[in-house]
Amino acid sequence: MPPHESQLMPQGLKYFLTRFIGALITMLVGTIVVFFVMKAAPGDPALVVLGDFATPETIARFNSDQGLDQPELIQYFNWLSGIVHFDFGQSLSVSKGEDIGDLIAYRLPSTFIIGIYALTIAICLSLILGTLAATKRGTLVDTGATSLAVLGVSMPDFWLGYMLILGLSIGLGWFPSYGFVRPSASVIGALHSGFLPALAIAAPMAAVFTRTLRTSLIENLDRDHVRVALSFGHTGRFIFLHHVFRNSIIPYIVVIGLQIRYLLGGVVIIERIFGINGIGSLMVEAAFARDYYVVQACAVVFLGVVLTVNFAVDLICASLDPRRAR
Amino acid sequence: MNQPLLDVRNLSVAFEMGNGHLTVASEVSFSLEKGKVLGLIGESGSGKTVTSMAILRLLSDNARVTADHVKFRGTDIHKLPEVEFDRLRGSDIAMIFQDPVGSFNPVKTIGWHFLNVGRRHRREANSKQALTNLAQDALAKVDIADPGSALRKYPHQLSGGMLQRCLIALVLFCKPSLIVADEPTTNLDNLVERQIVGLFDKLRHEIDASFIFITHDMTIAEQVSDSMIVMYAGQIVEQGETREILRTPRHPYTRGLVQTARELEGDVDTLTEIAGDIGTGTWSENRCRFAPRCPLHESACDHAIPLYDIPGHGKVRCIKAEREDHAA
Amino acid sequence: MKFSALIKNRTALAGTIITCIFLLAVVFGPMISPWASGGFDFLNVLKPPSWQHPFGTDSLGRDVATRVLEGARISLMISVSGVLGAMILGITAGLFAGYKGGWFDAIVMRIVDLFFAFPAFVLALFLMVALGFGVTNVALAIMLVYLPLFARITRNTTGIVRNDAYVQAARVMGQSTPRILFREILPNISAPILVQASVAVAFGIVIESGLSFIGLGVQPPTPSLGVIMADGQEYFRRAPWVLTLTGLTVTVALLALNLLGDGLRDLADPRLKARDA
Repeated sequence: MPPHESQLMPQGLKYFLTRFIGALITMLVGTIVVFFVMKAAPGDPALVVLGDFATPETIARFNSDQGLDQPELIQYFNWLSGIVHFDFGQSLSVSKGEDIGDLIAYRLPSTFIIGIYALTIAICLSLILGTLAATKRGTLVDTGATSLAVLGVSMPDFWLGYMLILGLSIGLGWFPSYGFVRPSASVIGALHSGFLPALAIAAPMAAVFTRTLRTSLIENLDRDHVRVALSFGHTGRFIFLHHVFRNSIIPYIVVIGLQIRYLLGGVVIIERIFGINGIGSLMVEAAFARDYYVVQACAVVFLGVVLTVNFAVDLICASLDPRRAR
Repeated sequence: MNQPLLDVRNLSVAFEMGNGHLTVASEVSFSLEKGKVLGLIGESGSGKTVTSMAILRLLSDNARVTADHVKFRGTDIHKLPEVEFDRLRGSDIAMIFQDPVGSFNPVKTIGWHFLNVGRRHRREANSKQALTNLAQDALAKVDIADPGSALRKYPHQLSGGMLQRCLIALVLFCKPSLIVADEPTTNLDNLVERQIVGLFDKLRHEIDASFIFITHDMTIAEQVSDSMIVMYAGQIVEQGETREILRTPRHPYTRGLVQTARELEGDVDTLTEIAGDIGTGTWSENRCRFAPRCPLHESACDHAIPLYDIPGHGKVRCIKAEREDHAA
Repeated sequence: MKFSALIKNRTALAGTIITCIFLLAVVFGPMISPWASGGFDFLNVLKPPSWQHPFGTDSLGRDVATRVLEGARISLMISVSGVLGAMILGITAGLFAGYKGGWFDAIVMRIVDLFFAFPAFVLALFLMVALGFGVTNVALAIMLVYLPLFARITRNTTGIVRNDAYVQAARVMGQSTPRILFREILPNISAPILVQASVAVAFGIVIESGLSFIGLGVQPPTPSLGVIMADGQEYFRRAPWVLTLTGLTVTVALLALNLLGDGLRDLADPRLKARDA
């Protein structure tokens, strides 16, 4: 009978393709939902641009220019085909006439950087706290770490943002409370100005990560193969790294993937508070300005980011755990 | 060399619980010669697993292990610092656990396990290829048909029987002098169980190592062990050469076990049952622990019973056996 | 080890106690408060916390503590009604999907996946733009955000238990499907659902206050916790206590709900407690 070692390969490929196509379909359906829900919103794009006192003729001309007099399905396809080429249309009110694609391209990096910054802080904090809590289970260290975790999940992130401003910015003056310096201008400036917002977003995430890691490590410390490895004389460090930590990493990564959703949501308010010009604040501005096209575009961008991250997390987990890629 | 490989004197194990401690094994003493197999018989709760784990210092932190000495090749290994004892584990003393499925890391291949164990214990192999070859040899020795393919597999892709063979091979790979096998066949179905027992029987003659073989099955013990210890409720109740004990079991518990084993081998309509069960909770020090289930129980049994030495037979913890011997 | 076992019980206990105190305060507080709700007092504008005004006063001289209690009531009402709606619709969908399987299940799960592909807050924001602002729409948005969550856990747990003995027995006895779903299956899977519900109410409050905070949720003068904090944001440097103490109240409430949820989870699954030898 031929060996099975290549069984994982074609199955892995199948897994990859199924997931990828699934993500594409979800993306497609997402665009449909976003478009048609936005259509149902109260308000008229024409009035937004032209003002409330526009005459019916100018409104009609606007509508035909924008293609708004065509059947909604056609409008959707036009929009969709635009998106595929990264053409989101022009802004109605946030920045009149400006290409939305350019707007987003300008604003996306800030959100991206703050997001990565927050994620990094959260991962570092949780790796330390989670490992400490699990290895020193039952002691004061554990209780302390777990309590911090519960606290972290209980604080609304925008409130935490303000508390950080109160303490570290107004109080101690260590960090700025407003504005974000782009890394292209100054890396140190970016790290400095981005610290408080990143921390505000990171805290609840770090709390969830810590609890997950701690639970996972504790479960794995009890596993039989750990004891077996011990009986073979492996060192504590080897066992912890390869038998405990390596096995705990998968649920940890899954949770990180799940929390990305939260991360993107938290970015929105934090950007407003700290005056960061990112996608989140763009969406809020657009919401106030009734710029439906921008809101739509932002929603689609968020959707795309989440789906991409989910897909990446799925792939990483499948490669780490041979039982998943079945 | 007239010194036994392993000499244990008065080993006791207690666990610290929230409100006191629970003694699960007391005053276990035995010695094991080089190249011999010691059978450790008992039911669940008898303390057999805990005893063997205690020898290898594998118990959790809330276990209190005390002994007069635990001498391996003349050195008291329980007095060694953890770092030095670690060196013995695997290379000199190794353990085959009961559940083969849980014993391998599910996210790593079998080959990975061999490589890492090999890097530690088979230093003479200086390349990955050399280790792989040695691993394949080890797998072949436990009758695995396609060693190369087995090494590339993950644990969930192999059956329980295959995994147990791999685990045995992994242990043998380290060439230890003392191997503790904790009920290696209990979790397998009968047919596979027979194969593995047959494997053990073959191996013990081929390999220059001593075994402690833990089981609850007298027939298996008969097949593979040279000497045996029968444990009940944390104490040794009978101890001696296997053939002698099976021929004339002197402790009522041992008698029950042997009788049941014989009946299972034969073709009987009803099985003799040892009434009652082992129970839970702490044991009193001042009576025979088997008394509640013993058909020969009398008032004299309500004292602490020592392990009597019966010349030509072994040791028995029973007043009746001692009296019979004197009468003879 | 004995210590941590006590702690675990204590957390659930603490959570329950604080939640109850909170609920009592929210329900009865405004009634027994000496300060009229919405009463302006321009002589006492932006006063720091004192015995008369435990949370200080805001820019219109109103007693912040009273306003916070009113706001908490409104925020809680919004969150609870949103979550309740999500539970009713989501659990029903999940029960049918998990039990029947087939194309219905596939469609429901695809829809759920879609909702999960949007960040919760972004989804809520989007819905507010589509629906318009105001109290009812915030509750509606919260309901739509949590509907998929309840659908998913219900469907997953139903799928696990649908072949259990008591379900098969009911089927054999000829009980109608809705009866089986609601009388037999639902009570048995209620534990994880209730745990999720407590967490959902907690975060519903966060979502509501977040939306109101940026002005896209509850509109002033209706007080909700988010509205009060938005107010406090305007004069944050001068009078930080308004925002700080309001947010602290939210934190305490969330803490209580989280502890409660944790306690419920521990009760449901004792394996997760600290283990001994």
